[in-house]
This record gives sequence, structure tokens and C-alpha cells, in this order.
Amino acid sequence: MSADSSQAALRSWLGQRVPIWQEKELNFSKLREQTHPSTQAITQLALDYRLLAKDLALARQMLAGSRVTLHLERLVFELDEYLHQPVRRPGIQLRTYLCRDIPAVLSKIRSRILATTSWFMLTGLAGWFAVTLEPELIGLFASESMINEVQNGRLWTDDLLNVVPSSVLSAQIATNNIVVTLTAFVLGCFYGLGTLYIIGLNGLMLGGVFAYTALFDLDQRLLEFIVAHGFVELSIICVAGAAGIQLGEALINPGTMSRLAAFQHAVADTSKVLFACALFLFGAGVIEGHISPSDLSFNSKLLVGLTFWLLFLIYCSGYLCRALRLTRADSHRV
Amino acid sequence: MDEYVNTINPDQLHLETIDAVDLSLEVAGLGARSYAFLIDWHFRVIFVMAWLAICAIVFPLFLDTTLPDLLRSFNEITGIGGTTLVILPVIVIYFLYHPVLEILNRGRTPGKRMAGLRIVNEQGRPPTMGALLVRNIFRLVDGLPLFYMVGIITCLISERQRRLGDMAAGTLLVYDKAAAKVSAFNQVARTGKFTLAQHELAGELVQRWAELASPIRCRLARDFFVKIDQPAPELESDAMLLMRLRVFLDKA
Repeated sequence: MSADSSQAALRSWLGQRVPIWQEKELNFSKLREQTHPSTQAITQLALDYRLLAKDLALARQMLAGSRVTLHLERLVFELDEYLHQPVRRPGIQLRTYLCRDIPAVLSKIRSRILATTSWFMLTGLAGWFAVTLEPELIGLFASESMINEVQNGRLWTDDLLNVVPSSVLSAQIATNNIVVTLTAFVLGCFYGLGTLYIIGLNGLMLGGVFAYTALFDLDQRLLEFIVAHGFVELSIICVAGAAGIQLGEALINPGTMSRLAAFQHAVADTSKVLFACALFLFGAGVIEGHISPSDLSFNSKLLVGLTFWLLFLIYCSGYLCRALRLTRADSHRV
Repeated sequence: MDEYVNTINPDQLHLETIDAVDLSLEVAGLGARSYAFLIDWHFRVIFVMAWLAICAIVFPLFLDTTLPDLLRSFNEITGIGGTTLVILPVIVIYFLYHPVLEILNRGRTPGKRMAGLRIVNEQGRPPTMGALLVRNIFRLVDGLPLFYMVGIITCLISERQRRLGDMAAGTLLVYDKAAAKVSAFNQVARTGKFTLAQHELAGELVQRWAELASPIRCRLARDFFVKIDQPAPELESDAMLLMRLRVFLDKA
């Protein structure tokens, strides 16, 4: 048999395979519509995949670049994707994520959390001293309306609940805090400098505003306002900052990996904590919208703040999940 | 970390399958990416307009009241300001459009679908929910300082035309094979009237149409139609023959 006739025979054979491919495609589209396909159907699909892959190899040789080959390629691609999709167990995955992954990451970046908190406190002190020595500098950290309120012996938070309903206030505050947290994290991609800037700016603002209110004897009232939500809110900003610093560190010192791979690895690892941050920020937002501006006594607000903070710390240490026996159940099932 | 680097052609992403089937995806460039984004942007505008229209027309019409009265009663019942009721869904549409639709449609938004694109991870597989969230969180940086400047610049200078969010999440924007409307063997098989060889012949003729001289291509087209038992009048124009060939390929 000559080479030409052999090629023609193969082409003709491929032509005869077309109805088979179409049947497989039809079976596949029916299977895809099912929520829980049977094991038998999946096994058959795996066999179909192999058959189609073999035909594709031949079609690529005989009919390179043809429409039929392209179509067959697409079908093999879709089958491959369907067969190799990861197992979905949302409940178990969420539990693993919340109870094992997040506490593990937090433990890993503990030193960065400490460093970020120190930086925050340092800039807070700097802000305090700067505004105490030069009160005009408050213009850098606070809006004109806020300054005017303080000069008139009032805090901008005084009539907060009269202006905005607490539910809306909570949503606004939580949204704003989440944006700040995410920004502190993502700006870590500028070798950590962006994160340091955001954390530093927040520290300067807090210190500066406290120093300015102290000049008008309003610092006690400001403390009363922030004590219920501040512990958790500021801790979360420091945690997100630490995650951002980790990104910068991966870029500066990628180790044996390429810079991009190290960056991706750090993002995949540290971004997990953002979910926990967002959850607790919603809680902080609810407190800030309902309890902080209320007429509750300072001690009650302090109790709320410390309890919420303690809950946050217990969760971060992984003890909460262990106490609720969530981690153990999870490790058996995964 | 699994990392596959295609050293031959950065515009192609090769998939490694356990059955050693060589599959590849074409990486989308800045143009396709912008096109998809613009479509999505229009969708977002349409959704927002639709919501505002519902607030302004439909609610008052069906609830037999005016919009200000409706918002006032809503405020009295829930304590939430009427403006917030109108504005909050707008903000939700704006910020959650991309992450929610990408997660639900496995890396495809309506815009990406229309542009024939999808998001995949570096192994060519659908990305995880975490990766999709990360690429959207990084829009905060990609959007700096205005009009996605950082994103556009990174896209232009990076090897696989990725914005910062894609680099961080380990994702890529590729041309979606599933979206390609090639239905060659479906048609061949469905009718059973034409052979694969005939189909390929017609495809090849259409592909080479511009390269061939007019009398030659017309003769080849007529010969083809005679062979498949379809009329091929001598007077039929060049353009008409090409159109018939295309119809044959698309609807045979």
C-alpha cells in the first residue's frame, strides 16, 4: 500500500468516526446537565475521553488545523476539564479554612503582626507628639468640619445616631474598614512600602486626633466612643498590614523561588486571613454603629470591647475551633 | 508551587493532562481584555439603570404610591434611609459584579463570555474561588491612579499580558475554547449527507478563496457543488459562490 493510499484510508476512517464523536458529545452534554451523575456514567465518560484523545492525535496528523480537528480538540478539552475538576465539599472546605488554615497563617506571620503593631503604635505616638507640639498639624489628619466641632467643644460622633440610623452606620463603617484592610494588604505588592504607609497614616491620624481632642478636654469622650470596637478594629488593621508586609518580604527576599512565584505563594497563603478579618470587621461595624454612639456607660462599653477582642484573640490562636471540636472533626474527614 | 512556564511561545498556555494529551490555550491580550471589560462595564450600567428604573417606576406603580412616599414608609418601618435603599444595591452591583459572576460561572462574566474569554489558572484549569477573589481585590491597585493605569502598564510589560491581580492570583485570561462556535462534525454527522472530506474541501476552498484567481476559484466551487449534487449555474457570481460555500459550512 502506498503512502498516499494509506493517508487516504486513514482520512476515510476518520470520516467514519464522526458519528461516534457526535454521539459522545451528546452523551457528555446530557451528563453535564445532571447534578449527581452516576459512577457508571463518569467511568464511561473517562473511556470516551481516551477514545476521543486517540482520535484527536490522528486527526491532528491527518487534518491539521481543520475545523473538525478544532472541534475535536475543544471536545477533548471540555471532557478533560470536567473529569479533572476538584472535589467540592463546601462545608468541609469552609471549616478547614476557618479552623485550620487561618490560625496557621496567623501563627506563621506572628512576628510581622508584632512588627506592624509596633509601627502603628510608634506612628500613633509620633502623631500625638506632633499635634501636641504644633496643634495646626491636625489639618493634615482631620477634616475641617471635624476640627470645627472639636473647637466648639463637641465630638463629630456626638449626634451620629441622630443623623444616620445605626444599621446604615454599621454598614458604612464596616464597608469603610474592609476597604482600608484590603488596601493595607494589597499595597504590600509595592515591596511592603504601601502597607507601611497605610498603617503609618492610620497611626498618625489616631495619635493626632487624640492629641487634638485632649487640648479641648474631649479625649475621654473619644476614648469612650472607640473603646467598644477599637481593640478589634485596630488589631485587624495590624493583621492585614502584617499580611501585606509578608507580600513585600516575598518580593524582596524570594529565596529559592522566582520573585513572581514567591509573591504568588505569599498572596495565596496570607490572603486567607482577609476573610476572617472581614467577618470580625462586620462585628466591629455592628458595635460601632449600635453600641459606641449609645448612652451606655464607659465600663459597659469597655466590657463589650474587651470581650469581643478576647473572642478575636482566641479565634486567632486556633483555640476556639479546638474548644468547639471543629478541628478534630475536620482532620478526620478531609 | 506548581509552575509551568511555556518557554516556546508566551502567547500559548500548554496544559499538562495525565493522559499526555497535548492541549493548549491562547492567552488573551490587552485588546481582548479591554473589550470584555467594556462589555461588562456596560452590563453594570444597564443593571444599575434597571434598578433605578424599578425604584422610580415599577415600585410606585404596583404599590400604588409615589417613590418619595414609598421611601418614607420604608424608612419608618426599617429605620433605613430611603436613599440607602436606592444606593446600596448600586454599590453592590458595582463592587460585586466581577467576583460573584466569575465565581458562579467558573471564570466567566457576561462580557468575557461575549468576548470569547475566560479566566484559568497557570495549569489551564478553572481557578479556585480564593484566586478569583484575590484577582478582584487587587483591582484596588490595578485601578491606580485612574482608569486602570497600573493594570494596563503591567499588562503591556508582563510576559503573558497579565495585570497585577492576575499575577498575584496566578491566573490568566485565555480564549475560551468552549465558546468557539465550530460545529463541524456535528453538522457532518447530523445530516449524514456530506462526508468529512467534502466538508474539509469546502473549508479549504473558503480559506484560500482570496489567494486564488477568480476563474479558478469559481470553477473549483462549481465542481464542488456538482460533486455534492447541488446546482452550479455558470452565471452564478464569484461572491454568490463564496456565500453558498459559507452557508454550506455553517448550516450543512
